[in-house]
Amino acid sequence: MTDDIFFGSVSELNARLRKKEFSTVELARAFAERLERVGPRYNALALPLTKVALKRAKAVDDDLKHERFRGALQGIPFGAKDLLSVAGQPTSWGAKPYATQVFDHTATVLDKLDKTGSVLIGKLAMVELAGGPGYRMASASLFGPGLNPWDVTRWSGGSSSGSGAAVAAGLVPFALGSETSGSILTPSAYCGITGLRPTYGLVSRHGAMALSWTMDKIGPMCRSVEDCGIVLQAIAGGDSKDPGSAGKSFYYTPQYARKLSELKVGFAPADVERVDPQARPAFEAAMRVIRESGVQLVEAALPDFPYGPVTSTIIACEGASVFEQLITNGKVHELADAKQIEGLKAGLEIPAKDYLRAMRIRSLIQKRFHELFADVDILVAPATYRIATKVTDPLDAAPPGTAAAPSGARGMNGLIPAGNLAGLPALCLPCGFSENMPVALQLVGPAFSENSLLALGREFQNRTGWHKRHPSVD
Amino acid sequence: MKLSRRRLAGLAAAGLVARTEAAQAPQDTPNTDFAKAARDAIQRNSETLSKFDVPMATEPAFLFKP
Repeated sequence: MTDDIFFGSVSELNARLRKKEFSTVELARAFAERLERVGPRYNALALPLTKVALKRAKAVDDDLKHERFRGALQGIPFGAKDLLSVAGQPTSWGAKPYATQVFDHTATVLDKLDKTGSVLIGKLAMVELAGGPGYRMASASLFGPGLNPWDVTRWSGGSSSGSGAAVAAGLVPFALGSETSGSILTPSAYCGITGLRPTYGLVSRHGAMALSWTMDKIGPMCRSVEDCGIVLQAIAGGDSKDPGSAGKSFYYTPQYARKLSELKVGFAPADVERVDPQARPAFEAAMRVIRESGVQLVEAALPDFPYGPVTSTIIACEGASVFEQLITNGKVHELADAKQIEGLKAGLEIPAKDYLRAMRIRSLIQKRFHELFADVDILVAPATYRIATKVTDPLDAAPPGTAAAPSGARGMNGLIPAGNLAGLPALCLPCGFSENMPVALQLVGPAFSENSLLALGREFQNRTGWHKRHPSVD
Repeated sequence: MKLSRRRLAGLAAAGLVARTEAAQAPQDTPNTDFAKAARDAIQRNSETLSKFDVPMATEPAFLFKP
């Protein structure tokens, strides 16, 4: 087995397994060894599950031997953010107060992946409590700051820090992350991988830590759009154990996607003005590729709403309620980040009128997005407006996308909180480099439009190849 | 110097703890009043939300399903 497996796509690895170039046990052992050896270098590994994984891999090999084929994920190792429970194993939520917590049930998404024959080889590090109401330093984690495989002096992003770093460094072929507001898109953009935030309710959250019942989503973080589609098909679907479940399935069917020439893609010229000057050429080139793909590019702008305050209020209220016991028994002070501690405590004091007002404004946001998507099919914007921050920099110093565009236009500034408030799917696509660090685009569409996003994303990756770049990992 | 296995294990554990603590140590300045900052942020959010015009008929974005 050669080192090229570590950056192979799901489909490539599965094809090689079927051709018997190597066994599932050999593949799982190679990735598990690498994850255990290299993962700590990026503070990416929360819990190795090598022994359990090899046992599972042996069973998959038996299935393959008897030609019991279960699809493209059969035999593929993967990692999961440590907010997803695995029965009988520690699930820390990245936080010291929960470091020894063990559940007796496994998250629905992990059960679903198990049925496909994919092999969980480890839990991946995360920002404590998925970032709660906000944190100040990259070190806000039981595992230390997530370090970026492209430059270890920079952050891998949060809160799915380990998932981003592990996929980028070839420690797992794909990973599961979660997003309440930016936790899949940001680490995907910072680490140069492809990440998909599904529509709210499409993927079950049963067995996942709750931060915000009305905003939490679980999604794939992969090497390519194609892999995101394959993984999403496996994990999506109704689940009576998740009260937020939409009861819908997802089938990755790029062959039936709408023709790109029929798609209207909205963009805002002001976004380019807001991007870091050094990253502008990459975004401008990426926009040319989008245009050349045959879609109709039209100017658009986000509706004017106070996305930040609405998002903060909802997450702070719901998060404080979820973690009320942690706050009142004082164990909240065991968390690593002072801002997060005080933010959680203060969340208990937010008046009900503010929460309800935020949720009513959210209804208006949802309505305006319905209207916006009557005119355009997809929105495109920078995933972040600057490259990964330095690990030692305070994260609240200059939030990405807050610098005003010289023209004063809003553009798509605030698309991450806006998209999360409206429960919309988003796809993060690596689109180049600035200062030797990855930069990325995001595509956002109406609810349950994942196939359209994936179709345009796939065309973008066919025409570019940025997703195939990876950092050098010894 | 000859070390016993137990002593070696203890030293290794202590080193791990020290590294973990260093990695987790909040790097904020000790004088920052995060409690006040959190309350101020809530107040600012409250003021922003209250200024936003919400029609009386607008229901919150959640559903009760009997």
